[in-house]
Amino acid sequence: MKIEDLTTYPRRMVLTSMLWFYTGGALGITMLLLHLTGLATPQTYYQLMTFHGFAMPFGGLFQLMMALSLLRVGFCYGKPINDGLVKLSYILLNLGMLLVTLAIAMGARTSYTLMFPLPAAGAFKELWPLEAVTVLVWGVVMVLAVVIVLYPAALARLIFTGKTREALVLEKFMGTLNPSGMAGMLPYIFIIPPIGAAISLAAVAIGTALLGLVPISSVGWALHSLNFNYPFWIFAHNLMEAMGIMAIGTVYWLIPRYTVTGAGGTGVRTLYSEKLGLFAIVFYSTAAIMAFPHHLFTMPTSQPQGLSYTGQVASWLTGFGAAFSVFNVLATSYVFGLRLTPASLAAILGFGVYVADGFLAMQLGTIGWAYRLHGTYAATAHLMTILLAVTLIWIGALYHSHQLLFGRPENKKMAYIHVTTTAAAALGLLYTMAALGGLGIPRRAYPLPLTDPTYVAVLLLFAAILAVGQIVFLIQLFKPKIVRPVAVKVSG
Amino acid sequence: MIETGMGAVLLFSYLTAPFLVIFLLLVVLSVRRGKSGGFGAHTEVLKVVEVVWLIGVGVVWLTINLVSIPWIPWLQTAIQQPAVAGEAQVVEVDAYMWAYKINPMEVRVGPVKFVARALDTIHALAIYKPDGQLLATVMLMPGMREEITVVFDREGEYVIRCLEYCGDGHGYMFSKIIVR
Repeated sequence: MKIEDLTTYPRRMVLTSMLWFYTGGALGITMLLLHLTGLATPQTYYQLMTFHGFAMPFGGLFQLMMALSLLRVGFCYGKPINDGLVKLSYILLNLGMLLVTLAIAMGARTSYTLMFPLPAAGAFKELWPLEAVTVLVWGVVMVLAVVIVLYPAALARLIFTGKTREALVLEKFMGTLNPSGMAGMLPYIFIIPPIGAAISLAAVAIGTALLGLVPISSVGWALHSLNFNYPFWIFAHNLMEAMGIMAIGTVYWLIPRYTVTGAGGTGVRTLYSEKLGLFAIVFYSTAAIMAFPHHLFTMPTSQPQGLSYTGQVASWLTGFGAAFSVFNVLATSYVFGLRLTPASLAAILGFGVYVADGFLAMQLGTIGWAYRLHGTYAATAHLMTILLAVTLIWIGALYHSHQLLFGRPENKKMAYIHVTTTAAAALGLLYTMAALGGLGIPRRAYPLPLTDPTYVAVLLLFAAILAVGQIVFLIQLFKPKIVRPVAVKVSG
Repeated sequence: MIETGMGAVLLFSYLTAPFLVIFLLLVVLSVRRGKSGGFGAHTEVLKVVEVVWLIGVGVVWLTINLVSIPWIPWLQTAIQQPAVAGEAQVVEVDAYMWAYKINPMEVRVGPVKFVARALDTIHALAIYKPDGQLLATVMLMPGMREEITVVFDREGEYVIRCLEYCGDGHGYMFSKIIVR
């Protein structure tokens, strides 16, 4: 057994995720420039928007999460991360993303949420060719196969089966059911496959019909917009929640390791309260399952009002899960003393941004406010911020494993710049977009109904700060000697 | 005021900005305690902090969930205009790529029931007050019919806009309704 058995695929995934994340990010900045200058046609803008939406969360963040969660499982349980499930996950996710990219290049511009039945309606109206829809659907099917089946299966296989190789155990194992161990990964493993099964089957059925293998009439049930959107939102909502819980689990794992207390300065390794941590994960996961109706609150007749009330109450209950975590994480830092490193800073700042954004999420999950905010930039503010917050937490995990993955420690000075600029930009974007939402500005609209370009300019400023942070990260990764580590003078 | 979109965003800012400041101060304090070696358990104090924090969160949770009930459009209409809710003027709206067919386009001040549907893909019927504030938005899915009653409390031009991405003309999909 070699360390490469542990690191080869996670490293590949991390580097590939950067390609998607940074390309998507560059297009995000381009979109803001287009809002300021009006230089593009709506067709071009919406193609960029669709790619931006697919690339950053799936090719970027999801792949980064996949890499670092598998790596953590591998080095805690002492198991190689190179089996067929891992390889297939890596290949299929990126192949699916390439197909989605091809579909967008062919003209598909549906947004990453598909807005079903927009893909079909657009083809019917000859906005894009039907062939583009077929390629898009099969790209999505491949991505879903990884998100819903292969990745959780790979995680479960590593956690629950196989033999531990002592040579690969690099960190003290804290327990499968412990929040500072693997408990944060379990909701993803047990919730996402059953909850995503229906939408996966619908996507495969539609894809099969588009290829002409079965008559289109046989998948009529899946083509009805309401039928499609319920399984879609049950899945999409809980995917974001499961990714969030996975990130909180990462904070639970990282912060105790960067406390001062503990033998040999290795950190206390457990939370202030492990029981409260486990309770928070279970409580949050359970409440989140039934929070999904908030995505469809603004259908006062089609969505049963009782389902809307359930969605509101459940949405707010997820806030309790977060509140337990806020206390636990801060109490861990305070009681045991926090050791400041790029990893701990990224994890705790990402967590802070996540919680702040959570309040906006709960407001969007309030029926009365949803009727004044849904479909505006407030929704974009929430989605973008939760993704950036979770990314920041995983950046913490990346810095934690920097030596293992890249064979050398990170350049601390540059890493701090990376982490702080990312957090500051995420908050700046959050508040600016929320303000646009308060003004009722529609999201995904080009051009924006704004007479004053100040808001877009401010968004561009924060996006530029975010970009600078990522450029600094790339420099530290590939050219770390451009900025030298701070010299320490030893007297005597 | 608080039930409006901007009210929600201001409340969000007023609550989260102090939270973030306190959060960051506690992080700084934790780092300092770590450096000085002055850390240690203060179990009794932390128990009080835990209880106070969770009670605070519970109070916010309960308050907003109760206070927001009257803001729900179908309840708001029933509460504000119980006598006339049944006599609301009816406006039929068809939304399609990328326009609205609105009938009638002029109504009187008072409650108006919108009966709306989408003809091709998902659209929205978002109604903006003359001052630009979003009064209400409804998501429209093909094959479904949505009904919502809103109360127009003053005369003017109310802009209608799509808030659900619906293809190339989404940014240009707007209309208006005149209230006299």
